[in-house]
Amino acid sequence: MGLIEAVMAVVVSLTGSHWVSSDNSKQSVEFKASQISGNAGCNQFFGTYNQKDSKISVNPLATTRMACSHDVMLKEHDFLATLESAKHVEMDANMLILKNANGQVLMKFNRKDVG
Amino acid sequence: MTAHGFKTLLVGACALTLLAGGLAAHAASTTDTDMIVNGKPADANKWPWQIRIFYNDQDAKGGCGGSLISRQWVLTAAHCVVFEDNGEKQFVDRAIIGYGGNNLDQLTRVNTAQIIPHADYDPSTHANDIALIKLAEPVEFGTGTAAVDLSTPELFNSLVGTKATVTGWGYTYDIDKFKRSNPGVDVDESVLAPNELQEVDVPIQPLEKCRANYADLGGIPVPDGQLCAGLKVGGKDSCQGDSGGPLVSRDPTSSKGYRQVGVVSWGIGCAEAKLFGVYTRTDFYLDWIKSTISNN
Repeated sequence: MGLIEAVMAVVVSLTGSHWVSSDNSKQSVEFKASQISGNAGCNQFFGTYNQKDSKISVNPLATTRMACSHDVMLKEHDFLATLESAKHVEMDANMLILKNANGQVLMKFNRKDVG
Repeated sequence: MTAHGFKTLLVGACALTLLAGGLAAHAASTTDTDMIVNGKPADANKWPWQIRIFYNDQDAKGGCGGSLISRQWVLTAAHCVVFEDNGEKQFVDRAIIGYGGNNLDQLTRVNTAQIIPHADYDPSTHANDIALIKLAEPVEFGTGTAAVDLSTPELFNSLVGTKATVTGWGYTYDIDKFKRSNPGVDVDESVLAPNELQEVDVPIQPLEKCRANYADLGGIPVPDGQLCAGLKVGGKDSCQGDSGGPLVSRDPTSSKGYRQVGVVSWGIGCAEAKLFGVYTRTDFYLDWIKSTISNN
């Protein structure tokens, strides 16, 4: 399967994929059917999302209520706000890219190693 | 998050200093409705079971709450002791428990001997979000230190609609609300995280209503074994830093006057209208608590 075909095939559904932020190994996101969950840096988050082809919308995310250092908490807030603003998704075998409505890249994730 | 991670992160926290002027300026620039805890400092010795989980010696504002349920056991949330790093579950195997006071800097500290999250804890739904911590040595009960009695199913069934109290050292403002209300103003930790234990009253809500409210947001499930507490209009809630801490209700049959009915678990933001705080029910896990303590 060529790269374009692979991208098209995988973008059909995020379900079952698990990703780690390319900037921070503690930030991750996992997709299960319509459910999204992961770690925002300090707290676990979870919620629901809708995806149709390359379009995505993430509903308001719930989080646990731990505290970490102030710097981590601010980064966590930005991570969650950015995730909730994602409108487009691109994905290949190794990378997930979330973009805003204007097509600007918001976040990049690497696929979590399997095994 | 691993203990190493916490140590790294907390260097920054320890470097922050309290700026009284900044605190006053920030407090003045927000409105009452922005105060998500909207509680008050707790009276001395009023909540003698309240503890703080520190993840290392340098820990300051990071961490979780919990409650003494006997001289050697602490009840908290599973998510306080199970983290995710690089997409993998990590289990906290040791921590330090601070107890015996309201000021974070003046708590007596004791090491942990064993940390036991519920085996069926699910980080993607927060089902079974409960854990027990065995202390390395029993604490001495006395002024400011005591165990809380736990709720029973019979008591829980009578509590919907009644007032409960949640306590903790968690954030008094939601970061998101703070930023929206104070554009351009730096979010100062001294504004968010109190040194003195706080308390706030919140009514226990019908589970069906809570589930319906969260279902409106795309269908976030509220698992069996959890309860919801808060105000329809929002404004009072637990928040980041309160996880694992106790939600208690008055009960004249307890010698302490209260029983712990919940453990702080999760929410969407803090103190948002209709989005009540979600707590793990202690009565639902009484058998697990008893058997875990008995077997360890």
